[in-house]
Amino acid sequence: MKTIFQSELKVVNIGLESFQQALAASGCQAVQLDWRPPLALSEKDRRTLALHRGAIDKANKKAVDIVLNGKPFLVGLEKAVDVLPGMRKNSVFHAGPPIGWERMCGPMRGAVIGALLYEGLARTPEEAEGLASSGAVAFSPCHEHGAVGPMAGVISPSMPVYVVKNEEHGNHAYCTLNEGLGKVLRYGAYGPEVIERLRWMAEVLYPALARAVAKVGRVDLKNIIAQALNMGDEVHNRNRAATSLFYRALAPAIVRTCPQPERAAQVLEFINSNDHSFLNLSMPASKACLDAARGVKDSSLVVAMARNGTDFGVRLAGTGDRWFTGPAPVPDALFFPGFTKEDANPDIGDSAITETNGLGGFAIAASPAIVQFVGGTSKDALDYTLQMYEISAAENNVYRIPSLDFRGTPTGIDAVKVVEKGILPFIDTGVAHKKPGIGQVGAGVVSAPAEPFERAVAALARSLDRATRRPGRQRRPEGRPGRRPLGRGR
Amino acid sequence: MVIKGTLSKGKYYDSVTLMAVARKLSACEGVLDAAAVMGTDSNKAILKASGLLSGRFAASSDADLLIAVKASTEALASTAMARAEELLKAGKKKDAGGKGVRPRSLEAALESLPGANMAVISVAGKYAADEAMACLRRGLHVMIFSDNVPLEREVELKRFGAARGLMVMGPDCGTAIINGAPLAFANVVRRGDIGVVSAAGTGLQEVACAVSNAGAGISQALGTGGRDVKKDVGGIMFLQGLKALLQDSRTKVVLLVSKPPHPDVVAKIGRALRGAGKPVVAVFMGAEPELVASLGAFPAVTLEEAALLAAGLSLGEKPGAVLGGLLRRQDELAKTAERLAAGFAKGQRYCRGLFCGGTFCAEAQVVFRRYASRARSNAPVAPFLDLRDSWKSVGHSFVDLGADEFTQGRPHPMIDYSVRNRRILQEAADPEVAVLQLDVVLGHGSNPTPASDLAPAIRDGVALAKKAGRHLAVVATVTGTDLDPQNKAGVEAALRKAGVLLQPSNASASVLAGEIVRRLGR
Amino acid sequence: MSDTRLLPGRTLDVLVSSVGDAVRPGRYVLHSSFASALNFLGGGRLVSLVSPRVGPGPANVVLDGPLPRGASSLAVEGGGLGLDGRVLPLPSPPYRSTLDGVSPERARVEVNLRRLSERLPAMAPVESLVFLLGDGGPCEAGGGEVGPGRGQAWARAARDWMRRACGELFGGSLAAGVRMLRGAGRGLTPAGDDFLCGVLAALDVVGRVSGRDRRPARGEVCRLALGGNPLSNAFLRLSRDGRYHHRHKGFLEALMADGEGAALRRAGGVLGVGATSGADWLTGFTLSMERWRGSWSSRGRCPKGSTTIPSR
Repeated sequence: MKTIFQSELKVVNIGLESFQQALAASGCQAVQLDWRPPLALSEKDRRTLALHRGAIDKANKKAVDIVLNGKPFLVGLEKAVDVLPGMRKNSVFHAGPPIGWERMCGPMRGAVIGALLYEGLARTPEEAEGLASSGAVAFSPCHEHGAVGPMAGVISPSMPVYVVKNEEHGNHAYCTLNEGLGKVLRYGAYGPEVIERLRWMAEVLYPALARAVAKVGRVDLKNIIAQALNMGDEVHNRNRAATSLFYRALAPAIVRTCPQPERAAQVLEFINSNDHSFLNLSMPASKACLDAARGVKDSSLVVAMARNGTDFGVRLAGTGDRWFTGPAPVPDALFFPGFTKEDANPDIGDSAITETNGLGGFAIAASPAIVQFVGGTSKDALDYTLQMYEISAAENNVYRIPSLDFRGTPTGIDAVKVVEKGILPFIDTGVAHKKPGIGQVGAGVVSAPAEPFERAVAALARSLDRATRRPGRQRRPEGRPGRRPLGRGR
Repeated sequence: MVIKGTLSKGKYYDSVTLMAVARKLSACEGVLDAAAVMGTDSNKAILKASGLLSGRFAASSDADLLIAVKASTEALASTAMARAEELLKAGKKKDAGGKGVRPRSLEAALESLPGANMAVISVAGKYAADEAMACLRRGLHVMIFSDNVPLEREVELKRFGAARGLMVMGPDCGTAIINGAPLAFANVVRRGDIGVVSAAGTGLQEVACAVSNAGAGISQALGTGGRDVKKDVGGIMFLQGLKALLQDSRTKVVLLVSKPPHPDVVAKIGRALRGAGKPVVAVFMGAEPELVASLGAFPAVTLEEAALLAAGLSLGEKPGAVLGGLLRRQDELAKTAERLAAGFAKGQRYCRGLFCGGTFCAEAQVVFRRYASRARSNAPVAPFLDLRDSWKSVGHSFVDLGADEFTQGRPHPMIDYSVRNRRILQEAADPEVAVLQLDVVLGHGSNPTPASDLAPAIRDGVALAKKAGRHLAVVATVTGTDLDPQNKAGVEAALRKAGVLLQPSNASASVLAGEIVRRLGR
Repeated sequence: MSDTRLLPGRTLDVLVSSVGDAVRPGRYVLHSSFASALNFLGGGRLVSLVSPRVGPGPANVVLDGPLPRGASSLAVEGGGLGLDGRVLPLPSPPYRSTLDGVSPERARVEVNLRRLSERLPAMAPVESLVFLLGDGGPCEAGGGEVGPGRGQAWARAARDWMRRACGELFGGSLAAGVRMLRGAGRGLTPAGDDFLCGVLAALDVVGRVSGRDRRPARGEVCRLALGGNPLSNAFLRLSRDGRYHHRHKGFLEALMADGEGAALRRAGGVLGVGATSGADWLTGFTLSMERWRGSWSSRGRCPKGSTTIPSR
């Protein structure tokens, strides 16, 4: 202890700022910690986690390595009912954690109505509503069927989906095709023009893309994303460069495999006119990588963050199929002219899967243009990403950020770190109008809410605790084999 | 050998910054000499004499800043010069009160301050223990200002820290001075060779200020928190601190401050003091002097006595002289009390002590025991009794306004005087009250304008009593030094002007209050 | 502990808690700004906005609140301070910065001065001019002071310079001594200037103790000491006029009339001024008092050198 008497005092001040100021005024080096109370975690759970720290860290390393080594490729397109595991004729899948019709928000209800009309299961919106609320429709989260969907994320059996394969692990992930901007199904619009467009996509777009992909064999999505990050995209809210690269990858094949040049032209124009075309590929690419890490025992790695416009849900690698939820917050957005926060719908969509994979808000330093959406500066963009390193298990090996000296993006959210440090994952997202069918009213940033993470970590702690207590199995939490403590019987 | 010089026009840097720049420049790699001085003729002559004069300086005026560097190579000189500019810029930013980026987690904080060796924690009690443990795990010493930390956590933290040679000061540790740096509520005191370990926050402040004002100085002042010397914690930090000071080469005298420790702890202290090799002074508030003497330490009854004894030992003065001085003062105070006693109305007989510092409340009672056999307090010292309702004084009363019942949801009374000010008026309106005793504590963290906050209440109280035909004597002490942020001389002058009978120490104020009350008893 | 940052009933307004008696009406422009003081100059005069820690002084306006960093000028007129479009009332009466209320006692001065000379070397920072007290007196030729290690050439040259300056001041040509001390050494107000302010204070005290007016001598020393640093000049002029910051004044009053170590305690307060400013001031004061001890009594002998230091 006397060594500190010999050295210069350097202080970290946690609490009242006046203490730091007094130290600084007396010439002492003192840094003020911007402290927030840690998220709610019971004493017991805290101790369990501390006890199993080593095992958790080891499991997280394993899980994040699986994620980092994922190789997502677009290998084809199919009809949803033909490929999505567990999809039945009366299934309607949706974004976010499980939810019933009664609790669904405006945009999602609109999308459900639109899907039922599209499937021909109802002839009018009123009929559709009646059907939806009757229990005849089997609602289920896309996530539980290997799929993801942006905004309302509604997938019905006849809809075409991208088929993405993780060549490293062999698992698949699926996503619908992006309809474009304005009045679209994913924002809850269900008018005739919406249904019309959906049919066109099924009849023209889908076959053309399917043939083109078959022709090139497969499209390397990881490669496109990595390049796009160097071109100002973060592949959640900004996909322009990635869409362009995707266009380049497929254009010749589209032209060659399309029976009529006019069709080819329409398809190319459709992709070109929608800067977010690639979002519906970055999402399943991320899901394919993360799903491979599901089931890693004791891991606190987040494998899904998803919202259904009412709830925000989280899944961890080590807690099986369980969803941990909390209310979805309303994003802090820059609203388009004529709209205010009053009009905004709570956070919605499976697109947070990009953040879960170290993209989107976690890579926003690669896309400073986005922060203009919240009146920020490009320095803010850097700061957001830098904060995310504090709660991530690793730095990406492929997705790198030029302005951070090509440092890998923060990848693999460790839920335990989130709870211990009180730093919540940062998502940048579009904002829907709370009434169905109006569309996007703004874009902005949102912090994931604390509750799902608190619940997830508590559950992990309890399952770890239970495992140690299982009779007949002396588990060595720190991984040291064999040795029994002295004095305890044989 | 290369000499580089820069001339900076029109910018004014304060002397502390200039000294720091010069010092850090000299420490740069390859630098043989450096100076940062104003461009006066005299300084140019000195620079010439020391071989640091650069041609650039010729045209300088008195108001320009010259920076000169002598280094072994051109490159090293340039690097050093660039460093100087950085330091100057940083100095200017500090003046402007720039905030800078704040780390949000402990890791980030440690990254931004490499070599950090101490954490000061003042977040709410229920989080403080976890934060402290996280810091201890990373090898930081810890000071926990927060209270409401569970006892088991305190024991856990102190055992953990002790096993690793790390300090855990607190919980509920309000004051410490490490390497001359003020931590939390601390005064700016002279640096010297007296080391203090205290389980009493304001006790530490009082002795540190008294030592400094007596011309001696503090090497280290370690706080342990109030529970440390009790049975459960067993004096872990108290003993750790004591041993460290006994080994510290800069510390020549050790001063211990505490309420009477648990007998087990006393025994441990006794063992630690065997073969100590340095004089140790101890004030265990309220205990019999024999207890301390039996440990081989110099006993003191009051904080002032302890401080003066320690200062005397440090300055080579005789203990007898110190105690003699205090006795003389007591005689003077008796005479003063005699004079004042005549001015009170019939029926006025009680003393009401209103304290921000818990230790002062205890000390006042220890002294007052000589003058009255019955009194009450919300933190009673035997044989005095508990004050049933802390908000209402009865008979002679000594109130610790820093106790929980007063501070729930409110700022501490050392910072916010409103609770005490109201109480002053309440006591002044009581026809049986003759004397009020107050403590005013200066230093970092305390009320920045104590006189202007307190004097009006005192004036009002005195006036209120006067209107009813009574005389209210207000006895007080100002704990602090001339170097504290609050301008001690000004505070004392303002309080005297308001009619306060200022004493140089809390013990002395208690004596005066007691002497007055003794003469009113009949 | 609950949130201790909120003080009920406090507004954010700034109050003037003290104004010095040398603050004159006029307009002043920002000259320099530091953590606890903002200096404004106008017509060669200085007005400083300061924090309570710095406290009252002849040209100080003490603000009970945060210092207004954005202000580029201020105005003083008829009982008010004009700042940022507001007028802050100035308290009355102002802080009295002179020693006029004190009756000095010769015996006390002797005792206090002796203790100060003994203790000052231990109390003052080592980078200050206090070494001038320690090594056998200021008139000795340049001592064998060798600093350890590198980086000492400047420090050594500075010490030699200061010693020679003192030798001139007290034993050779006063004018030469003052000129050498002027602007010499470290600090925004160089150490030599602080030393000279201490010298001026000693002349003030000597005058009071002996009952003989030293104002001509003080005027002469000040005139010789003025240079191109407006802050130094302002402080020199205030010292010439016998106007002191509250810490220096407290010390001088205690020196002249108090016993039992009060002067030493107050000296401690002066040591807290600046990095070495206070120590350099005390050194100049103490050396001068010692050196001109003979001139306190009306029969004192005249020290060698210029006749502008009267003793008869």
